Amino acid sequence: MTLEQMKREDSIPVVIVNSLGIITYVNGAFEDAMGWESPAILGRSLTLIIPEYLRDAHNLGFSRFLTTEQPTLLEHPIQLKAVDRNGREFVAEHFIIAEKVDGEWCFGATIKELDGEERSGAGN
Amino acid sequence: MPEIEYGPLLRQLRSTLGKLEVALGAIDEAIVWTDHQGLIQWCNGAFDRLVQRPHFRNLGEPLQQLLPLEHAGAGSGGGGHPWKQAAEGGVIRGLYRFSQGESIRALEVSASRVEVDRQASIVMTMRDVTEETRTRERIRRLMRQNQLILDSAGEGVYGLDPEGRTTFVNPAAARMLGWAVEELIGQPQHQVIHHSRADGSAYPAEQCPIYAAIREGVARTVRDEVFWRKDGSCFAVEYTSTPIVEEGEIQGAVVVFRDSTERRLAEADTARRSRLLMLLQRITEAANEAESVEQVMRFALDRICAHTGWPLGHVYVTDPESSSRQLVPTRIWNTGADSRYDDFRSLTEVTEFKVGRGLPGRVTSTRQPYLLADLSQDPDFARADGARRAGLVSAFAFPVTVGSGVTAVMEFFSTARAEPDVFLLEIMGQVGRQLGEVIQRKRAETRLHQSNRDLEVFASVASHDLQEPLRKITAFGDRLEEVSGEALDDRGRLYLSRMTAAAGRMQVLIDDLLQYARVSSRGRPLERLDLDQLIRQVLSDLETRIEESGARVELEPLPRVEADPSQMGQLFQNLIANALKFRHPERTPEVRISGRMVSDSTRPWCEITVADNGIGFDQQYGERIFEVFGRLHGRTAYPGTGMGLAICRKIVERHGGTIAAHGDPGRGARFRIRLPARRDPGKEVEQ
Repeated sequence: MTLEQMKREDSIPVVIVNSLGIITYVNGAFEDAMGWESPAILGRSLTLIIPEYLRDAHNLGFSRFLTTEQPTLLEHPIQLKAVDRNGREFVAEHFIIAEKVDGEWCFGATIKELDGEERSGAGN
Repeated sequence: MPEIEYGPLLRQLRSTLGKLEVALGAIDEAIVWTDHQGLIQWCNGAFDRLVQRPHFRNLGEPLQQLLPLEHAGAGSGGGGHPWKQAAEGGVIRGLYRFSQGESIRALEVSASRVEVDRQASIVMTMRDVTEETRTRERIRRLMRQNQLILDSAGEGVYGLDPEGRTTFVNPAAARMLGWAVEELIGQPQHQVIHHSRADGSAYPAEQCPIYAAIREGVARTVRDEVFWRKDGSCFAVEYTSTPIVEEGEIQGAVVVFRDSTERRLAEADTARRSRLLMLLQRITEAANEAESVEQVMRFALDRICAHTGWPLGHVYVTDPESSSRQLVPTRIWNTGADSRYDDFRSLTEVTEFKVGRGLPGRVTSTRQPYLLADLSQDPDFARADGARRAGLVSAFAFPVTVGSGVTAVMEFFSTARAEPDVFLLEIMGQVGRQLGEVIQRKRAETRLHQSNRDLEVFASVASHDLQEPLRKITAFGDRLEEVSGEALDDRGRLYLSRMTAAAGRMQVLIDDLLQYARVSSRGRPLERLDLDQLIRQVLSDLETRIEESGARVELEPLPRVEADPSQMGQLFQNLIANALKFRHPERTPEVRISGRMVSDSTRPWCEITVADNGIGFDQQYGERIFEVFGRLHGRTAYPGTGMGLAICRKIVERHGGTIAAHGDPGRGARFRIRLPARRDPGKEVEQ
């Protein structure tokens, strides 16, 4: 899957950020699922949709990738918690990709909320 | 105010954070921090590996559930999970156990609470010290075992640093050396316990084998040195100094030693016993070689004085003419030509003892060796004053026993006090018994020699004195027959003829007796002799008798011997003639003469065998046939005087040899002669 393909996705929430972790794109499904309208979230930090207690880990992991370019979470589905505009935490299957655009890394992710049966393991 | 460029700033911060994350991820210590609720906000790779979960699945998890910890009793903490204690404000540093399935890890945990943005966070670091703990535990156990071994070892063990200073000492070493362990630690070992040799002379450290092991890196074992105790006394030790080498560098030495006093005493005792047994053997051998009883005694005195170092030895003998078995002194002494003992000697030579009295009498009555450690303290020692003046302190004596009696007592005196020595006395008791046997044998030999001499003298004198009257009987008999033979009647002529025949036989008897006597008196010097040649000559002399009997004589090669040629000729003539005379009536006589070299425990011998197939004899007469006039058959059946084999034995014995006869009735006889293969120069057996 590529960033372009993600942008064509309209049934699953998609979010794209630049190398600074700033949201540059969300699709309609994202707006529906997360309660955010595009103008309100574009240009803001991705940490808006990450529970507060995971933000440090996110920042460190994100920074490590930019420093080492060695992925650990990319291109396979992983379960992580997310938070919507109302502060509701939920477990979602993330599929994250990274691509360089004009020499800068861009990241795209699909965020598919899981119900109880679909969750595995400890429920991240 | 210029517009802030957040992009580069963010990039820079990202870069810094990235490097920090990489650095934290690379260290071995597990690091985790949680929020105030205990949910994991971040952890590094070492933590992920510790809990064996993917990194992203640890994030947001409650730490206490993910990493249950149990205090292992070391460091602070102890009540509950370290996170909880840290959250309550404590700073925790301790050893915890983390169980995961069957694996139990030991973690050195550090936990503390920090305030970030007015929010409490807990940071915990964990170092996996499982292997370290196990190793430490193994080392601790090993050290405890080593300590137990060192503490319980009978041997002394101590360690030295490269400078030869004591680094450790086990209790046995300290006990043997008479020092407390702590007094020895750090001390220069050589100067403290090894400074002098057994004789008290200085022992330079540069010659010390213990230090040599440190210098040269080679273990040294020494069995005959001494260590010195704190109180200044020393004791015999055997020790091994083994260098301690670590990574090619000599770090010192370990010395293991044991008190070898008992071993050395045992060795010395064994050596002493061995020397005493050797003494017994030498005395016995020499006594056997001695030519007289007095010589036996003198030799025994000399050897015992030399062996024991006692300067004075003397022999008392029992007086055979005394009914009360008085012990009388002899002039047989060993004084080492020391004039100090002259008075004591004179006193002794006029002092007799009754059995049971004095040292000689006591030994005679008990038939046991006896030691008087202090002559001045023995009320029964009659010569005490004389002994005191001569400086004699101790004495021992032993009986020379012959059969059930005591024939002599050997007494010895020393100028130093002697302690009872059971083994010495035991050996001296054996010496006495051996000497007694030798003396008994010597006396028997002396009696036998005397009896032989008497017989020879008698035979010689008798034969010479008988010759003349016999010649007259024969001569007058012949003349009577010549002059009056015609006048005699038949009975008279019969008497005359029997008389002259008897005179003739007597002449033969006298000749044989003379021949027997002359074996000793007219023997010629021994010379190297070719027995083959000699026996051929004998066979030639016997040619007529051999032809008449039709005998077959087989002569095998014989060794050369040193012998009197004339007597050897006589010996073999008698034996071969004997074989022809006692031939079997139904068989062609066969005589076989053979020889060989043999050895027994005493010397090599030439053994010559003369065997025949004649009538033989019953072996019970094997000795009797060698007796003077010894006959097994009547004169009528086999003429002769019965002197032939007696002469043979006498010849062989004059040569220092032996002769033995083996008979098998009806099948033959075999005579075996042994002559010394090499003779001692100038030595001929006296008969």
